[in-house]
Amino acid sequence: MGNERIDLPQGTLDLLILKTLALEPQHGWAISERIQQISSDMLRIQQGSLYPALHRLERRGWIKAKWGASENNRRAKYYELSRSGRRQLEVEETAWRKLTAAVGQVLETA
Amino acid sequence: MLSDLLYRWRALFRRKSMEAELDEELRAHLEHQVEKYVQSGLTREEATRRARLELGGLDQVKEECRDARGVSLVETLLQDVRHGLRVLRKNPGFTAVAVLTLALGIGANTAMFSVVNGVLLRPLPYPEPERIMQIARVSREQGTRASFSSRQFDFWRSHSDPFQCLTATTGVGFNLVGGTRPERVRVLRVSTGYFQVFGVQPTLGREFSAGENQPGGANVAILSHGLWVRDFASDPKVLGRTVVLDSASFTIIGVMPSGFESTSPVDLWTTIGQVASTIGSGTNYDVIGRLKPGVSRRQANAYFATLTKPFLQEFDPEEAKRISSQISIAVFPYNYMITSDLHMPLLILFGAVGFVLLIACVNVANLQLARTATRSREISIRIALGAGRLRMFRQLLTENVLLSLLGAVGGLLGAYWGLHSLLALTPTDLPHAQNIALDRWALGFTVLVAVLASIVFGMAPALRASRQDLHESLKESGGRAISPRNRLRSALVMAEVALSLVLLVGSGLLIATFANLLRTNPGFDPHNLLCLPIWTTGTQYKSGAQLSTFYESALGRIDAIPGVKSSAVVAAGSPLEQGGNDYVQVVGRKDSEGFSADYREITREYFNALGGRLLQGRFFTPADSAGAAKVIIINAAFAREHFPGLNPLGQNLTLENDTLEIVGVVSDVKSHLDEPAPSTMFVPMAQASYGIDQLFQAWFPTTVLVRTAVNPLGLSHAVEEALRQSEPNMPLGESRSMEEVLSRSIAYQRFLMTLMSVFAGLALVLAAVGIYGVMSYSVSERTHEMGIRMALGANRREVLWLVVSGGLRLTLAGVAFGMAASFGLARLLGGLLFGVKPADPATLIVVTLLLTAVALLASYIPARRATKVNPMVALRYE
Repeated sequence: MGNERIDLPQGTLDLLILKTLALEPQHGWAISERIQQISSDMLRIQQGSLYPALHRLERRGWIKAKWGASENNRRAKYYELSRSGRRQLEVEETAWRKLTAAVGQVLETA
Repeated sequence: MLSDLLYRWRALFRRKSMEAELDEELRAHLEHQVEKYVQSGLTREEATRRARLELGGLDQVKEECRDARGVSLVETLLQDVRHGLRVLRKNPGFTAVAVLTLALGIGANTAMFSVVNGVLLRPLPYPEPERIMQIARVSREQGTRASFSSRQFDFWRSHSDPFQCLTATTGVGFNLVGGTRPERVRVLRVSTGYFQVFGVQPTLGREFSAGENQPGGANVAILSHGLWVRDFASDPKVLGRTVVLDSASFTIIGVMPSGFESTSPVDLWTTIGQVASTIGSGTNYDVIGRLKPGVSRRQANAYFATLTKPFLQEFDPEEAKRISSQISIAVFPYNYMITSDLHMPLLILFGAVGFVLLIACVNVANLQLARTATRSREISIRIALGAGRLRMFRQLLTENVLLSLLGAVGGLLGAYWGLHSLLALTPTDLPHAQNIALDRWALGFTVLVAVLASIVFGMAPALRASRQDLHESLKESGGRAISPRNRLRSALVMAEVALSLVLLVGSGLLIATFANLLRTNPGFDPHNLLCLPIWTTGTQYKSGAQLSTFYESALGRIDAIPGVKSSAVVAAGSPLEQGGNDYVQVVGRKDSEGFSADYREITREYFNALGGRLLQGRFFTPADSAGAAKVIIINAAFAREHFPGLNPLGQNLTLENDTLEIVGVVSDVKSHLDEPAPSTMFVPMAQASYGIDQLFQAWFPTTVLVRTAVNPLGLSHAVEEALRQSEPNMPLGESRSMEEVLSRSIAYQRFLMTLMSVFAGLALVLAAVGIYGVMSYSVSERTHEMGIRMALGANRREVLWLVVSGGLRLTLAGVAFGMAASFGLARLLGGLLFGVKPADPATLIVVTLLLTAVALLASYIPARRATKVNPMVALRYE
């Protein structure tokens, strides 16, 4: 399994985390599970990069953290999108779409 | 960005709780993952193992999270400092040696910096002092000369575009009578503009007017704050009162503020215009100006370069005609002119003390290298556990900075103590000596030096340690072969030896110089001889004959004091001090247009009291009175120079329009120990020109010399009393024994020699410690090899030689490098040496032997330890 996994391009992890959190607040493990599920196991997040990314986003003020109980009644650190995070998500989403569209266009025609 | 700040703030100060949160967060993640694997059918153990593997190095993740938080810079610094302190505390021996070594190096540097800063660097205490410049003529043959005549000053005044204002000064002395007791005051004659140039105005009254600064202008004076307080009881109504200087009345028109000091201390100021056409003063003008705002020194020099030609054409037509004239006119910062003689020696000493610090750094670097060898496993383990190499490097560097700062604290204590001893040594005429202090500049310098030093001694070991090969050092014993680390250490020791050799050579040359000075015969016996300066200007004696009568009666009183053998007076310059000179011609010599020779007026017993010998003719007698035929005595140098192969007796000289017959030739007496005695002529006091006598007293006191049978200072009171009874209105200077005068005359050389020797001594000790450290480390590293050699039959002497020869090789290589460098230093010292050549073979040999002997001793001790190696133990140790 997972042989077809692809490496995330630089900078896309932040976008994925923001997008995931846009639906509902999540803790770290759930974020990586969610991304993995939605991408049908194509994208697998290394914990070694997930947590530093979460801390970086928190420092920038795009996500906020608070402690809560998880589904199996453990204490877990939940992250949610802040207002500036929501704006950031829109910016990055637009940028991503433009980028992929442009890359796609080049691949089609060239 | 507020959130960012808050986050960092919280992260920095709530480090503990954030660490705990991070731990818990990662643990929760792990448990979720394990749970997931268990549900998918794995056993709990297998699930845990797999989850762990996926998460990777837990510490690495944590470290990256900390980095992501962005506080890590400050935080890791704190962490590094804590860790560094712990490491240093755990190795008290290493820490003590390193801190002590650094304290020596840094302390010596701080003390020396305080001197250099106080004397050379500190700006003068005037507004915008960097704009104050002095005009000088510079030539290759004569160096920098800053004296101009009054006419030349007029020339500069009409060519002074770069200057906002220009002034001329000349220093003189006056007798001030009317205070509690007669005193000699130091006077600076100045032209108008002086106070604008220095940017300070009188607190009371006004400055000089142009009308006052003229030949025949009113006598006016401005008091220094000190004189105002001392002699005028700080009288606020002092303006308009008169002060009697050399029997002339001066009206006080101003008082300077208390902070204002001339660069050499002055009691009062008066105008220079009165002496514009006199001999002496009128030709000794210092010309000082304040540059216009925005005008640079370079611009001013460009301006004066164009004036060189017209200036020479007007005042030195001969020189102006020379095509290859090397003379140029330039301006120099005033501060530089005051201290110009000191630049070279102080900077040499500063360089020397820098070498000491370098040696100290080399030693600590060596200690560090030895230690990183033993610490390499600790470091490898930490790197293996996920510490970045950069992080490791930073950690080691932090340790070094800590070490260095501890050394700086010790160094400051040392400098505080050392500066006291150093100040006690400084020659009394060192300019700005009062500025020498451990001030904030010295503190700043110390911190800077400490940090630089830590980089110098810490860079190589830290780089090496953080770059080491994990596999190699994690393998149990590492390898016993001679590693590249040893080559580096050997190179460092060589550098150390070379540096100390340079200092030792410098110190050796200065010691030889000083010994030569001490051995030099001044031309008289300085033992049991009292000197007392007096000034007769403005007293009731108005001719050479009257002065002579007064001296004879005063000397009669002195001779009556028990313990006095003989006494005399000499005017216009005392032995071992600078004196006056005058132009003289040999009568009947067509080609001779006259020459300058030192000039002295003496009473009859002078040569007797001094202990000078008569070589030819006779001494003066009572018959050489004012009305008698004029006579003169010359010294041997005069006879050699101007009557080579001739008998000077009976020849006539023309001096100040008088014809004098040479009646005697006496032995030479030195004015400076390191220079040959100048050609000197002596006239009897009774026949001396009164005008010349009074003129010379502006610069050179008249001196009473008393030859005693007992300790001369014990008689100083009685001698002063006798003089006071003879003439109550004459100021007396400070009594000194001639031995003290002699010792003061070489105070400067003693200062240089002592400092250089102290620095060289420090360097030698540090180098010895360095050699010892390296050799004993290499012995301990080679215990195994020694064991094998001895097991194979090497005897103790061979092992001893093996180690000692290693140390010797390093030393000799260092000596070779140092020898080359020492020639450079010796060349710089050249002008300060006396009786010894810069490349003095004796000094070089002695220094090399000394250094080699010390190196032998330093490697002998570890070598002996090597011979005590028990082969069985050494071999089993593996």
